[in-house]
Amino acid sequence: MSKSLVEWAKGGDRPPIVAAAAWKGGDGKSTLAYEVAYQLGATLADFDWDKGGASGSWGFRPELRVRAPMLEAFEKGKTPTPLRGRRKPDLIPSHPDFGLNQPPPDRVADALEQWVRELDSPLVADTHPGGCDSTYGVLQPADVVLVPAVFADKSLNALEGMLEELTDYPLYVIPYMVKSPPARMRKRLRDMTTRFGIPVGPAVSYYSWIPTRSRRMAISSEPVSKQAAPFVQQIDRVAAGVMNYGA
Amino acid sequence: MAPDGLDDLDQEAEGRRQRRAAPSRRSRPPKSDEERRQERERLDEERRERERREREANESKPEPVPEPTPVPAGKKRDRPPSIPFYPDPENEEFLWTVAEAATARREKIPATAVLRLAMRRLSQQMTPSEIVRELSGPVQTGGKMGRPRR
Repeated sequence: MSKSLVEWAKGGDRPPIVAAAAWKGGDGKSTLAYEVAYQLGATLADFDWDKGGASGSWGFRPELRVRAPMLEAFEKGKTPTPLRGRRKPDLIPSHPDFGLNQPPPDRVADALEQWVRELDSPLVADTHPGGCDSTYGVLQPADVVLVPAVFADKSLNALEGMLEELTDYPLYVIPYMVKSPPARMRKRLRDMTTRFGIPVGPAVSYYSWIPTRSRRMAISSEPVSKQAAPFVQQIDRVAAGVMNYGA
Repeated sequence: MAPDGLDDLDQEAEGRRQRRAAPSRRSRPPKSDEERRQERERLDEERRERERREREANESKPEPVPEPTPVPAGKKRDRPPSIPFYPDPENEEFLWTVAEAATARREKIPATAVLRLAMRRLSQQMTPSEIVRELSGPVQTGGKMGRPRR
């Protein structure tokens, strides 16, 4: 297993696996995973079967497709062929039926190890909110687990539960959708991450235009709009943090 | 390891706090004791001058304006009935001139106050029968009342 992307670039035994997980929905996992995958030149594997996941953002519509790459990959034990698009990451899309047909965690972990070796490129896996079989399976082989931390009471409650449960995983907390958080919330996140010894990455601000954005290409794809430049700069820093995680 | 996002957020919050605490460039610098004393003296001088002018103006006034009758506490003051007033162009021009003069002194004199003053002066100068005689003839438009008959 590679300890970091830097080491992998120097000749590690397999490309790294990055997971994006949170025990609460709507905290920005999919957007974060999408942009980081694009920045790292990674394949994005979407394990979130809900419509609001990364596959929908990418433009994948399962109702128009005959094949379901994610389901077939687990049925046949083969590495799926990622979908390719311009100005967006390669995608292994999810399927609405995946929620009911989740393989056990160990099988998901083995499959990810196989996929990342055969694809020979880093893999970013977006997960379904909360702890479920596929999410636990994704977390097992992950070299870094991106955890968006939103400064809201419910989100921090969920995060605290997640850090307690997954304290031995390589978690990387990213303060996300940040807009002038009060001191008590900053202190709460600081206390939490210190207590569990979890590293905190660079913060990503709140951008009101992102939730209403209708374009499917990655925000950080060139040419970057003037409006998006500050966001892309922050995502660059997150990607750099992921590259150097554990180094 | 990449920079800690929480450190950045703490620094930003500290920066905001310092900006709030710093005096605004728009606000004036605090005054010294000497400046405060000079300003107080200037204001006192202005107040004395204003009072002197008011006293002189009151002495030269031909007649004092009658004080309004005090309204007993708890009783709502009855508003006098409003009466329509149709000014001709000269009246209108004169009222406008009065308003203009009042504005120059930073005061506000409504047309109804001018009319009350005019009524007061008229009542001192003429009797009701003199007024009727003065106005009879030219202001009457026909002298007939009711529906015109064929």
